[in-house]
Amino acid sequence: MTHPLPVLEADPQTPLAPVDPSLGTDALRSILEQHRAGDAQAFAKLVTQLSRPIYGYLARTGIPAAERDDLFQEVFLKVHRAPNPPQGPVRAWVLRITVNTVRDYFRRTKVRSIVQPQPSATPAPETTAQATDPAADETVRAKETAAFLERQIRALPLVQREALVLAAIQGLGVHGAAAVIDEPVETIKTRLRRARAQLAMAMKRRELAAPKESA
Amino acid sequence: MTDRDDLLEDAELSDDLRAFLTDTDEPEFEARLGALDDALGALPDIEVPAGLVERTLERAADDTDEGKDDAGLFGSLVGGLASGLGTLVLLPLGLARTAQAKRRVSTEATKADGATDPAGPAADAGPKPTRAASELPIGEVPIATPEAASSGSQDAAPSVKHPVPMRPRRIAKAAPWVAGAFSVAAAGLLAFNSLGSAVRSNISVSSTHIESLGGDGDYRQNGPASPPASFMIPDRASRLEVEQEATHGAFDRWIPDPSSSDEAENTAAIDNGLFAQGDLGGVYDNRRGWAFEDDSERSRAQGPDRDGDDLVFDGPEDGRAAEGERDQTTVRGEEAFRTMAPSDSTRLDERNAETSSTGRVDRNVASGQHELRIQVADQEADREEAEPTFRPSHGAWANTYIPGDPRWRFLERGLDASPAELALARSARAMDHPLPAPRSGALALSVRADHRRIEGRTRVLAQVGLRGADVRQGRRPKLRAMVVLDLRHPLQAAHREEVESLLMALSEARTGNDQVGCLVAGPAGGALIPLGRLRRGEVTVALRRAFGTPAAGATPLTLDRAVQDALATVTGAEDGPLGSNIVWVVTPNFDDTDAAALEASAHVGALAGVTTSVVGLSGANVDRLERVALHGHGRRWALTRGNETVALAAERVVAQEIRAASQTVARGIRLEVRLAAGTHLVNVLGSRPLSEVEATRTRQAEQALDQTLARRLGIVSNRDDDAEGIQIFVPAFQGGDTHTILFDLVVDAPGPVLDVRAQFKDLLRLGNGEASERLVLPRGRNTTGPMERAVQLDRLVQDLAETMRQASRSPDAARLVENARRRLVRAQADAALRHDETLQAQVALCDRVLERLSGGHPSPPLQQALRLASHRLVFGAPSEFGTP
Repeated sequence: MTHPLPVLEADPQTPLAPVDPSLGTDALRSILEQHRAGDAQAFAKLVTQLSRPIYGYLARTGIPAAERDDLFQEVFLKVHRAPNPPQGPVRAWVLRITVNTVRDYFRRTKVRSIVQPQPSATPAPETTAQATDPAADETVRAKETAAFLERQIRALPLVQREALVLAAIQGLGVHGAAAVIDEPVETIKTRLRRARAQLAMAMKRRELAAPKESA
Repeated sequence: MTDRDDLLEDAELSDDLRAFLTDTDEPEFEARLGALDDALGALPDIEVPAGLVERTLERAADDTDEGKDDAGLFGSLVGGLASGLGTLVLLPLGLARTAQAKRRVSTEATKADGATDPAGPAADAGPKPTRAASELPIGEVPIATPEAASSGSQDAAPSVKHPVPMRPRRIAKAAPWVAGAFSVAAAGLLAFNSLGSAVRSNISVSSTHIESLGGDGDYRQNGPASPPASFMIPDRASRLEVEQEATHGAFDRWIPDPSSSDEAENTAAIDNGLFAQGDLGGVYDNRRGWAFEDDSERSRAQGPDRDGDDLVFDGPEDGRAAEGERDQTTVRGEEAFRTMAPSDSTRLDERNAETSSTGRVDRNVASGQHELRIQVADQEADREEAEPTFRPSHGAWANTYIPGDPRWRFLERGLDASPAELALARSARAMDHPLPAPRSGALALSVRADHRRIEGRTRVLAQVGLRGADVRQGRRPKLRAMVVLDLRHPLQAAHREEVESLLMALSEARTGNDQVGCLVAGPAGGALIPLGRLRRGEVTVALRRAFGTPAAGATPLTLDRAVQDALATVTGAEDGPLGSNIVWVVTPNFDDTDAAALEASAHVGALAGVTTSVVGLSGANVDRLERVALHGHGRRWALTRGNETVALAAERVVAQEIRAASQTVARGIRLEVRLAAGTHLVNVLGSRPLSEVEATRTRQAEQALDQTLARRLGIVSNRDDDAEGIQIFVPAFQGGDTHTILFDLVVDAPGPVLDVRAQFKDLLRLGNGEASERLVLPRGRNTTGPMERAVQLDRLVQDLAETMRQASRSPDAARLVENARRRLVRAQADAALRHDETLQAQVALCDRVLERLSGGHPSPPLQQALRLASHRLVFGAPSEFGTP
């Protein structure tokens, strides 16, 4: 039985989920066209709308905090300078730029890693030892799980990270991720499958380790 | 087929994951995936840092502006071309039209004189066009007869509506001029835009000039209100004043005050050639001093026309003019410059000091400027103790940047039993070099001088500074290291302990990827621990074997041969980008013969991309270690204990060596310093010219490094033999380090002094890096700003270091130190330096030394302390190297 993961089963024809529920993909396109027409405010609007997914992608694909700001700016400068508007959805286009920028970054740092700081792992949130309230306890646990997952995602190979972040976290689905990464859908599915299995294994190990730690 | 089944069929699946899938049944796996998806879906958005969006928008706005500039340039280019073409087309057309119109007016006038109206009665009602409007070409208006025109009737206007209601004659006349004007305007715009681009592209160079010219910009702020008496009436001045005049003449001239009411003084000053009309073209402002009319004026002042008056003046105002054409003051000053004997300069120093104290020149001292001038002149005079011998302005010079453990550890060790002397030496303090940090790239280059402006032949100290970009500790490269133990002679117990500690520290610092081995030179030479086998346990066993009695039939191995074997072992392996293939020579000491042989081997290793570092056990000769390290592009270390245990000292050396290897930001730095015409090199302080053999070796090493980095990092090879000027090759530069090189120069006249170009392999950007700077000293009264003072301080500290070194072996140490102290005190006459901590520390150091020097030759501990102080003044204290 295949797990009915909505990510994997997304209809390729379904438009990508908007960044802001109030904004459909058409809205982003119209903002972009306004920017191209010379509207000074339009680009600010575009950056504001796409800042979270782009920054989130940069963070989750393992770009060190020190470099993240630069890459974020680099992505939007590329958008700013792009001579022609994209044919497809604007968000997917910007994400494709981001994916390529991140790949370039890792390609560069592959050889310069010796003098570059290692990606700083986001410290796990501090747990509140005195949390006795069940709701608070649950919140703390959720935060711990989230921090653990973030670390595990960053430990995945880059291609799996890309697929997982785009398809599962950014909500693009397999087809959307395939379009952004410019790879066949089946390739993305394979990468996603491996990534999810890896994370599932890590979570199981964590569960097994937790009682020992508490003991 | 489920996900689990798919994964189990995946050939690339890791063993871990396969085991997990095998242990997990289908429902559990699906449940776990469901939980995972829930958790992924619940992941919160990552917050965008405050201000990032705004910064991005600012950058985009800047990007737009740059684009506009480019568009403007492009537009001007296109406009210029179009206008040019327009001119070519319209000029003959317009001229033809003009001629045609003239002919037509003439014809119509002739017709009007006697012809009947061909249009008939209907046309008589008003002024008629002499030609049917329909017959006229588009844009052409029918021309009325003179009568019609003279009637003044509005109806005389043509009745036909014309497509282009313009006046053809004027257009025809104006066409060529309009086209020409457009062309000129477009060409002007184009030129302006090109100029702007050029200015922008050369901003780094220009900034040096602006800095030199800018600052307080006040030519007069410290000057006397009237010229010193000695300048006005030299024949009536005292001998001292004449000498003062002569001393200052070459360096420091009186500048007329335009606000002064005494026109005669100013006129005299102008007439004597110091100032020609239009000199620097500035306007004097009582509050701000000389103000330039615009930046171009500053720029002009830096070009061949040094005073910016659009005249390349070769008369008295140019110090490089023929001797006979020079102004009287310049000649007087230069004579003094040339003829001053060493003893005279010393006496003059003393007399100057006396004069200041007795108030004979109180009117000048009152402003404080005179003291400064005395100080500057005395510094110059001190440097002029011997007539400078000029050196060639081209050729290779020795590198002075040698990162690593300085010799202070050896020297400090010798003072363990003399705490008083040790404390004295520790009070020596190096100066911090305020060099600019790199904005982009691995290195920043800067050039400064101890003068901001000069007026004639002047001794100038130029400082070329390098600063590496700060890098944080990151993953270090995989290490392939061979340790060569020099066991040719039985080691003392202390040395054995040091060797063991070093190897233990190395085994501790080793990571899984590192490969470390050990070779022994000595009666039982050969591989002690094969490469990649160095472990803690191995070390103990191997050293027991190495320190024991050599077995019968053991093969002796010389140190040089052992180093060559070690180099061969690590050569050929994939070199990390930062030179992580290393040979460490660990030795209690070696003689000059060994050093010479090792230099050659280390050089061969450097060509092959292997660095050779030297670790000296306690008592080793640092100079020899340094020679080998220099040729091997490595570092030299001293395993002396001082106050720490042997194990700690060994850990420090290993940690710093590894740190040095992982913090290199640039390799293959080639500095080319080209001196301008009229600039003469006296010396490169702390360096020496390389012999032909050394220069060839350096070039080979540079080219080998160039090719290695091209092959392994893809940095395009760009090094050839075409080097210009004075060349200094620095094999590698570490992040966060600063280094300065002082060039002692004599500059004949204001103008360009030198330019510096640094080519380097940028390991941060993985490309060829290049930086260039230029030093220009414009004409004018010298003033000192922070930059100039930093260079002067650098010089003073280096001088003091040299004095301390000389004093350590001189029976006349007290006099040497006293003279050095006097120079420092004079430097403190400058209000800006009075409270400078570095300077105060140097004066205090001199005081302490003088207290200890009761006369005669310094005692051995004091000699040691003086050498240590000298070293600390140049290289800094251990804490300044970031020693743990």
